[in-house]
Amino acid sequence: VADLEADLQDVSRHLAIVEDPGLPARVSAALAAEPHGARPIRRHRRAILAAAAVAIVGTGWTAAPALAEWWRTRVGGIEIRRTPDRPPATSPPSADLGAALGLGRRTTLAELRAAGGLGLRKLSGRDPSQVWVGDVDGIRVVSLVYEPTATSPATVSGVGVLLQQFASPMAAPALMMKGAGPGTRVEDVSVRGARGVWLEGGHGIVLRADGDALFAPARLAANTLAWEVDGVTYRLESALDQEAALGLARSIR
Amino acid sequence: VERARDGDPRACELLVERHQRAALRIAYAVAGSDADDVVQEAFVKALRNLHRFRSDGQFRPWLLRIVANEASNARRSAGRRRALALRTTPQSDVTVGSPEDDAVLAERRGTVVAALATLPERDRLVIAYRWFADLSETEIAAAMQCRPGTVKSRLSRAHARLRAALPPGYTTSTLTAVEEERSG
Repeated sequence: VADLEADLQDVSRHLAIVEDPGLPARVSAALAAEPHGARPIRRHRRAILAAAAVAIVGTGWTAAPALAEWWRTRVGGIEIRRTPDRPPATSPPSADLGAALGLGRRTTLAELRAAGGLGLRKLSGRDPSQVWVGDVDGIRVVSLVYEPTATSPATVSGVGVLLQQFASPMAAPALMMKGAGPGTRVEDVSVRGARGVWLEGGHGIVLRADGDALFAPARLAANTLAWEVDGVTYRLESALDQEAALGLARSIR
Repeated sequence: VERARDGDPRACELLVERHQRAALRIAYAVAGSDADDVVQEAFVKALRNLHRFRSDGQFRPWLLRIVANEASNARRSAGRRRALALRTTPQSDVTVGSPEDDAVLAERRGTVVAALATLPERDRLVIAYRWFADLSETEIAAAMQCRPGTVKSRLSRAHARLRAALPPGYTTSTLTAVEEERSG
């Protein structure tokens, strides 16, 4: 062990990196240009208008690094990127919803409450038909599945509403990545004063699987409203339009 | 940190100056050649979110955690399948020996750093916290948000994987031999 440690110390002394004396001034300038509290979202919105020119291949986030970089935004633990690709095809509604949507294992509200931690929220006046809990990179993701009703028709996955919630500390990398293709509208919204994003039209979604950024297979997601309140990210997926989805989001307790 | 939180630009610059070296090293171990951009972005993000830093906490681990996550995201954006390229240079702040010794050591460094580049990100990160940023176990625990005991086991696992990633021809005696020769 001592030899390996000596080697690592030696490597450390010779790493091919050079400190940049201009960095403090550049950071200072960047802070002054966009002071704390300013929302960088407008820059993103301008970029959306030009996003048609982006060319990314594959699943949308692996290739063409320079281009993939130039439009993305983030709400809590969810990162959204522009991609010219159509969303991935999805399997038809499956009996095994957990596997199809990557929700983890089946549980109950009582069990979740007993486990404590994240303050659980659900749609006002409605109990979910299924409760799931998953672990994505060490973070517990709770998924509440609501049956389709007359007012909330089934999505492509066969659910009425999927409400997901997970803790999203500021420093943590995004847990979910969404690729917004040409058919997807992306809009900034506000949910009771909290910043959110509305994605209308199918889009791809992948879950971060571990610290080395391995991903579960992408799936197709329906209209989604994502927002963050007090370090908790909420994601509401449904076939509803924006107004109805915002109404539901405002009603969660 | 308090002054920077109150928006004092000079205090912000001082924080960057003071922590740039460690930040660059962590970013480099995670994201390779993208480290410069990563570090700038991470500093901006950290300073803009200073209100979320607990005053009783340690600043460096908090900052380096942001750097590591920014680096991880950058690497993912750049295409996670691309092999990580880490390099060492002949320049050194330690006394150099004979040209032969230096050649042996340089080759050895190349072997170690190439093996390091093949490790999973989590292993590279804990090794970088310990050896490249010189964090204590307590500081690593704060940066990785785990218990100090967990740091020990993660570091030991990372060392074992690094050892396993070294080529069969790698022996642990060369460096020791050269150093002994120097000190003798």
